Amino acid sequence: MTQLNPIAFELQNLQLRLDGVALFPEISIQLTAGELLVVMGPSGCGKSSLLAAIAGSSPSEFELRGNIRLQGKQLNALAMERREVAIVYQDDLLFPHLDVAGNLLFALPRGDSLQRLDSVQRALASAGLAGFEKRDVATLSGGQRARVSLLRSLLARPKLLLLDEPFSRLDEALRQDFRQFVFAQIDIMNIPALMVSHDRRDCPNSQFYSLQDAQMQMLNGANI
Amino acid sequence: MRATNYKLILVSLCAGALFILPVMAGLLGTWLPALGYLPSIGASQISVEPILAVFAHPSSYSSIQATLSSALLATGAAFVISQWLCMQLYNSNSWSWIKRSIGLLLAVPHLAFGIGFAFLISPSGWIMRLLSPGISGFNVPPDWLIINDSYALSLTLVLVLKEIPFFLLMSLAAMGSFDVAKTLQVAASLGYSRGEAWLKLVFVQMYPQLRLPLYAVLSYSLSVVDLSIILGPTSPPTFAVLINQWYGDADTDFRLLGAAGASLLLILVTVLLGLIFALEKLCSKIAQGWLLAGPVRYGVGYFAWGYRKIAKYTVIGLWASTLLTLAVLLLWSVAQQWRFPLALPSKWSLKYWQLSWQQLPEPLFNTALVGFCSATIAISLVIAILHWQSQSARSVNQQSSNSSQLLLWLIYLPMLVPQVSFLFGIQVLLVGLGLDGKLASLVWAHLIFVLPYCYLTLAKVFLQFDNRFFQQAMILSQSRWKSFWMIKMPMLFKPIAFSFAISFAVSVSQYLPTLYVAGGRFNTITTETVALATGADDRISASFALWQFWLPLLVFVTATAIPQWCFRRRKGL
Amino acid sequence: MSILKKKSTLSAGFYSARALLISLGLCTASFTLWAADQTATALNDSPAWQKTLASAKGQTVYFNAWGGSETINAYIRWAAEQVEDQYQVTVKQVKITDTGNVVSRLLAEKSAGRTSSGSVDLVWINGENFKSMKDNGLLAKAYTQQLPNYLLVDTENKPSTLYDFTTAVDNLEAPWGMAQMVFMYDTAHLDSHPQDMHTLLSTVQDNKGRFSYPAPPNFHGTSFIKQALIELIADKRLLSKAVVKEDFSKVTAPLWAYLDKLHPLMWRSGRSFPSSAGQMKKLLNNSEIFISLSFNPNDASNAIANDELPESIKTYVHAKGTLGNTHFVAIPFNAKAKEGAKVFANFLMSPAAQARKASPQIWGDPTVLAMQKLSEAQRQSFSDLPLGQATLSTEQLGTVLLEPHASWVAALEQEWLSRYAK
Repeated sequence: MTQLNPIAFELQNLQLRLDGVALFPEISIQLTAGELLVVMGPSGCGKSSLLAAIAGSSPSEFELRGNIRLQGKQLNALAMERREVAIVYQDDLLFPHLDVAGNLLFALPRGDSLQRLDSVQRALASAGLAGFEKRDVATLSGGQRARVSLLRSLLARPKLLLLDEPFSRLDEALRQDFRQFVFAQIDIMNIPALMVSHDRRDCPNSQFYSLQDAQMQMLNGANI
Repeated sequence: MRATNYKLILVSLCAGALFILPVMAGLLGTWLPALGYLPSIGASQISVEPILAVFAHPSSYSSIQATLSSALLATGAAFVISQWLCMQLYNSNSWSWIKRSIGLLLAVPHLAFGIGFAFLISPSGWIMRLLSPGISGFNVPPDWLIINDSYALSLTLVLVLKEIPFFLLMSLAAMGSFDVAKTLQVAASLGYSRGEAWLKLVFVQMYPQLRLPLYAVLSYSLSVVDLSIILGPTSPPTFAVLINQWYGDADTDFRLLGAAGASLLLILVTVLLGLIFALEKLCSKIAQGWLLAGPVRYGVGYFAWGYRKIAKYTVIGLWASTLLTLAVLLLWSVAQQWRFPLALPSKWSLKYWQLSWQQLPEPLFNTALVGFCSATIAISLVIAILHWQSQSARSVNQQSSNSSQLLLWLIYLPMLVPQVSFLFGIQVLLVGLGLDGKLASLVWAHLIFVLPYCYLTLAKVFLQFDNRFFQQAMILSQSRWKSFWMIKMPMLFKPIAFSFAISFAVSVSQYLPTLYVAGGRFNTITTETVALATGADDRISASFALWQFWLPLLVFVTATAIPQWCFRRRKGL
Repeated sequence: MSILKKKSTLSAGFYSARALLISLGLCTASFTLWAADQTATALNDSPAWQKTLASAKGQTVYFNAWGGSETINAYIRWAAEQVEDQYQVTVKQVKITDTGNVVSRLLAEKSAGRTSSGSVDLVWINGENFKSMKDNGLLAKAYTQQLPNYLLVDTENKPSTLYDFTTAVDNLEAPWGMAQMVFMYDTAHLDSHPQDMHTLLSTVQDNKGRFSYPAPPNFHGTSFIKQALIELIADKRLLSKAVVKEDFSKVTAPLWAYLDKLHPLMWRSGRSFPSSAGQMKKLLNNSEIFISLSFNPNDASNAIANDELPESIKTYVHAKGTLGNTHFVAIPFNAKAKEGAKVFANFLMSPAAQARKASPQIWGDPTVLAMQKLSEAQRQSFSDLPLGQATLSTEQLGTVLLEPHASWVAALEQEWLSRYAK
């Protein structure tokens, strides 16, 4: 590598404590634009809490130590709506009172209404959902819902994408399909992404970050 | 995030200043005369004389007895029946129908229902008319002691009929916090009969959330005045009515007696609630062993198809009594002459509709105005409190910090304290501040009683709202305000509208607060209805009761129809 | 057409002058009465009254009056429209269930030190409540002597206009209507009516469960007890004096003995009582009871006209007379619209308002005015009134019995409650 990728997202000596007890060892992570890192660990080790802390949605009794930096900006004290961090869960959390277009429009920044509609249509088309604008979200299939949910998060133009076991609700065939879709979108958006997962197939390059051990590991068990 | 805790405390303090201080002042303003201090009638000697006078009054003893028996019986019966109905009918084919229609029953004011019910069941009532003279053989009404009986049984019956829907609604809300169907499934696989499973697993989990409604109903039954005037015993009347009579006695010395009686009623309510609390503790101690003793083998238990049928008929009976009440009020309102034993009026007339039309605008407007104002303020306050509560919650399962617990009790207090025990003091207070007879004071007085019910009907659903939707919205829109108004509020529109309708109905039914605070400046449909019900004309009192009956019903139907219509294309809601 | 319908002083003066001429021509004998009418006219024109009328203009009078009767409410609405038209005074009826509540509110206002801008401008009142307001200083200064129409009141032959339940009125309240206890019975079920308390008992014996009276302290209930006491007590002279505590149980023994016999025969065997005279009327209509009572001699006729009672209902009084009294309107000490209240009180005593009130189709409440003090036309408006089909003539109404001394009420109620409302 001759050209040094600038660091887009960084966790410095991060630690989460609940009532004085650390959930996991101090971790430090650096991600470049377009890079996806998968975080793994046994259940209860604080994977979801880590994502919540990065997104800014963790309950107030969690004590956060260390730094969270996105594009050089310190996120620690920033309110969740100012962080420009998107988070996608296994539950799609589509707003049931809005139609598909409504859900997407809600995430789009303000602007010319025709242009906004156009971006919605293009986004849907890119996901193979052209013409779905007026559909009630409750009538979508699981895979369709997952895509709309991801599209929605990306339309908000986040600078970091967090994925909390996004595929675990989907059946095997859909999972593979959606995984490709997600990877493609991250690539297109060219933003760093952090994913919490149980599934080894989610890991690009057969690498993952072990939260327990606070270091990168190969799927075959080797430390990096 | 930490700021929301301060906000919560701030809100609690504001609520305290707005509601609790005046209630305390009202209590004090009642306790002083109860101890013989009321300078305006020349009483300035602190003594226990008034309290002794209450005990010496010939009517006190049996009045308290009738009050106690009717309130305990009504509360107990309504509670047990409602729980039995839940057990029998949960997930039966009528269950979803019950869930949807229970609000309608709840919206009907006690007073209108009571007036109509008296038209139905009195010895010269509609039922007896339908049976006479053909079946019963009566040409003149039998001399049966049905309405205004000295044991207050008819009052008790109406209270039971009116409180069952309330308990049902509260139980439905309580069932929302855990998976009842799964619980029953697991229990069945362990060999528990449905009845036993329900008692040991479902009811036990529901009870903590039913405690407060239970206390509120008991306190209400002990202190209800308007309904008791119509249906309660007359010689002597129930204790709350007796107190009200003392307040209204021509002899001003009776004010001291009234105040002493009101204070005693408060003590009575407190002691009873304390006893029930103690009984609860005792029961849970005793039940420990029984809970873990394992299933009763081959126990038929309390659940069988035959029982389910009875339960169904009970619900149908609830509906039938309400519809028949509505029908008999309608008939009376268009009757010109309707004497016993005719099944229908002999002369019909729309005169009383016209009459009530001419006189209605003002009380109707006042009722609607006060109802809308108090319900709107209540719902806004409650939403603000609940939203802060949900944002400052430690986690989903642990919503009660100390400050919000305190706030809860402050909100619920007016529901547990009998109205007569502080309204006299409030009246003196408002008059002293020159605030009586003002619209704002009246709205405020209604708010005291509307707020707890508003909170009670909304809190559960609101706090169970999946906060991740709100967080997702904030991340997406980067605006708290937008997320709150465009996502959280619309998604909670249905329960909010429901709670608004219940709040409105509670405001409509306020009789004593309107009487004491409005200073005669604001007559509502309820004060007019009570005034006319004590008079001689059944027809005009029926047409007013009818308006009291369906004004809250109208608001209820509208309030539940609007979100339904808005989201008619949305299956996910 | 009435004198008071004209607004300008000139035409009012003209009409009064005409009335004066007529009364001169027809009633030459009664010079004193002429003088009364003359004074009324003079008062009408007096600068003081004109000043009252002027300051009353635009005021809103909150008239606190029992609201249980649609008939009466309708009459009050009519009267309110009249004073609105004639004097630009707005009257709003505050419909109350119990005058005692008004006394309570005034007490609260007094204890809060509100000596003006009170919430009550005029209150319909009599008896105990009046005494209570008078004793507690809750009434405005004497005012009825300023009202032109007060001079037309028959204070000479209607002593209860001066002594309200034996309490001296002292011009603190304006007489509004006369009341006399009458009984109503259903001729469809009873061939003849009782003549006194004893025959009432025997009638009820034959018709078990078909009579009742409201439970004291209800006004009508207490009145029935007083009527019974007057008829049954050995020495009637005791009643005009204050109760002597020591003798009370001895002298009232016949009353309690009577009630002990009556109650088991009554409606609901005397275990429950109607809440009011209003409820009694409903019971009478439905044949739950055959005998009811009222303080309005026209009540039955009025109710028949209104289809509230069947035509078989007739009125009767006890042979040796029944209780009579007067009801009034009073202005509280802190009334905000005192002038407006005076104008309205004056209007309520006007011949036109009184004649309308006396009409059985409207209300049927007997007038407080003296016929001799009225003009011929005014007198005519009263004599033209039809006698309701169930109304007794003045002769048939017989003797009016005076109310016992006020102290009897509390004593009787207390004893009644301890015997029958335990």
